[in-house]
Amino acid sequence: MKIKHSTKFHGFTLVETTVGLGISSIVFAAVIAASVGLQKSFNAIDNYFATHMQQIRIVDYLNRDVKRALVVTTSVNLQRVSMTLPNYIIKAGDPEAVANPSLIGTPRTPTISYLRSGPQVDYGATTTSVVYAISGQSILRTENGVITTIASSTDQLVPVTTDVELANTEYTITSVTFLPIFTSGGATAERSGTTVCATSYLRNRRRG
Amino acid sequence: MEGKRKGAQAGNVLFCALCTILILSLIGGGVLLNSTTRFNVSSSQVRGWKEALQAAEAGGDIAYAEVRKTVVDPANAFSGWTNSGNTHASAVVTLGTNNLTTSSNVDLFYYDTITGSPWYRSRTKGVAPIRGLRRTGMDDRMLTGARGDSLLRKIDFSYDHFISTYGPNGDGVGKALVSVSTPQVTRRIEQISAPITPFEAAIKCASSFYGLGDAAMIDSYDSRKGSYHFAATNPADPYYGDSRSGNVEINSAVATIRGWVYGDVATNGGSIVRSQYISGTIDNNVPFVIRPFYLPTNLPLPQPSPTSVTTNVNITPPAAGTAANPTLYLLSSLTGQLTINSFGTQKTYVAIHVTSDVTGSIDIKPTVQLKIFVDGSMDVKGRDIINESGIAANMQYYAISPSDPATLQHVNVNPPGDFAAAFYAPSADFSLNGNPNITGAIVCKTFYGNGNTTWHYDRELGQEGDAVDYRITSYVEDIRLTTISAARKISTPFIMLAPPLTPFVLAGESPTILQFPTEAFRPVHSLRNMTTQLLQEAAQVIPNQQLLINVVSKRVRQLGLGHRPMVEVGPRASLTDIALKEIIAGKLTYESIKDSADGA
Repeated sequence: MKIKHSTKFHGFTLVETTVGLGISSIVFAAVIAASVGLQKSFNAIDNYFATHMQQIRIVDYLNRDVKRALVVTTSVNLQRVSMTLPNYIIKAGDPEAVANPSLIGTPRTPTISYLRSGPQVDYGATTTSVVYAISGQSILRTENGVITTIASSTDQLVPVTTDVELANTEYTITSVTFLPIFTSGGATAERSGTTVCATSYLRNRRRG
Repeated sequence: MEGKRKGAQAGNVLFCALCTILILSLIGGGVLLNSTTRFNVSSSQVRGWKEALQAAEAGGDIAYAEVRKTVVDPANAFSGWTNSGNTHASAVVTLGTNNLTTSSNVDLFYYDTITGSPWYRSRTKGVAPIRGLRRTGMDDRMLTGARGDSLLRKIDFSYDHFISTYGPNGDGVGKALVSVSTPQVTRRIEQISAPITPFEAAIKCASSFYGLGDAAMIDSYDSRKGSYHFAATNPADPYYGDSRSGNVEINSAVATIRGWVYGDVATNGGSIVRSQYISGTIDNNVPFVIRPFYLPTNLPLPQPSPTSVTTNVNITPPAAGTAANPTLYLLSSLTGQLTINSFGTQKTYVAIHVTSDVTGSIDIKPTVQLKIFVDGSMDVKGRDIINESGIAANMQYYAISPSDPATLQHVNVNPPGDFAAAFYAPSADFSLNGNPNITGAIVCKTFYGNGNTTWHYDRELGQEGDAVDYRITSYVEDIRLTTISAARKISTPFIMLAPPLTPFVLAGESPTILQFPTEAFRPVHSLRNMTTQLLQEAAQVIPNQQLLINVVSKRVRQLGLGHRPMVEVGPRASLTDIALKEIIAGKLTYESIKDSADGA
């Protein structure tokens, strides 16, 4: 058996090559453009999403602390939240820990005192101070002087907390916005479209 | 046979198309993978974290309901729970549509010796399963390199970190490595249930209120600090602070208040006339419920005599008793005059249960504290209430609610006569006539007072009487950081090669690569000190410092040989940072060749 190769199609003509290259260029250009666009779009969404997650984290941090707070106050510009929390856990240096070091890190049994406003539950003689504030691109949580960065983004995160005090309870409304660094078609980025809002009641301030 | 190769150009086009599809697929796959992770973070982890708290608070409500039963329905309190003395443990309750679970431990942690009422602490755990991929990592993307979500939301992917770190009850006892069937979030709260004492306000009524006269006055004092004198308008008076707690609480919009009130006034949608005569705050949005009152079930057996008082009867209890265990007399009628003496000179606690209406008078000596439980109504004059101590807490009337709510009950106090007493009659219509001088408090269904009464609420009453209900007065969440002693093995078990480093590291007596920071260094977050911070957090996962150093060393060596990081890393992260991050994320742990501490 002999396989016969035709020599008729050994090469492409100049026209064929030109047309082929032209089509290929268009296809690859489209693919590259699509890839770049897709990548940019993905980066934009990913960045937006990452900042959005930090919004949620800020709200969750604040809500967790507000719920267990004894006192909550906000600054005039509403961007700094100060609160007082019960000392639930025994720390080194506390009177209980001095008497019995094995109690360090364990929950404290509260004591009861009777005040004009009624009976009061005290977790130790002191309380914990927690402050939320903006510092540059970061949102900081400071607990008794110890700073923790809870959110950090180039998208200019701004939390705003309003403290509402009622006769029988107190609650806070926190809204967090940011300015997306990626915009579509050069449109002016809008903070308002990024708002995440949450309300949290002080569980230790209720009557009835 | 002759074969021909045809269509070579078609193959070329197919190849190009396949390449295009491949490139787009790779990009799409990358996007999909990344998006899936983000979706899991946002949808599952955040939701689970929130739902775990909801489950914990639901469990707290269940525990609170049982605590209330100790007053409302003592026979069924903590029924179905595992009870051991003053501690109670609930079964695991499943709730919601996402298989949330909750369980509580309740204990009597404080006993008020004055009121005889217990305080309860409930520690409740809520668990929410995390749906989606078993391991997707957590969102820690921040500019500073600090931890984000993994510092806030503690997710048990494979093991229960809390039990591993603090034991099942959080007190450091019973630490164990307990695996979880599915990834989950657990949150724990502690709530304190405080007894509601009967006499928290000067006047508290569940329905309509009218009174007192235009020239009447309600103020307060504290009998524990001395006898009463008017101080409500003199801030310089040392008793001024105790003089303005003459509070009036009305669960009705029908609230006609006249005369001076040196205290706060609360109504349920009412409008206060002459509000300028109220010294404290006015809140017209305070609805409340006063539960019916039933005879306490913890009373002792009654004395054999007397069984009724229709003439003058003089009794001396056989013992001083206590607030929780008084001497009890059971009377079928009280229409005469009853005089109660003290047991010697001691403070003497007496209880009387009258199974009919009361129209007679009672005289208690100065060191006697009397609680009178009345099945019917009361029609007395002020002078029939002879409380020789003048301390309202020593004369407490309790009107037992009729079993049929339609049955009317009343308490009428008519002139003449002043008195010192406290009335708890939540199902009774209370009527006060004349212009008496009263020391005490009243809880009733409706209130009517038409005289120019001077009314002094004794702040000591706030701590008197058995609990009539419970309220939650404190709420804390246990947010302690958790670690795990052993989770997953690294690919090769490590052998202890280095000499013990702990003494040197802690004492700083020799140069060390890894410096363990003290607590004060925690706030540092710059990239320069990133290793320091990561090291401190990793030290919580592997507390033994020399083991930690060896694990890091081993892992750095592996990474240097080309092993892939098991966590997301930034471009400037060093191998040490990567190893520490892996430890913090629970991706890496150790196993000693001999004597594995936890059998891992």
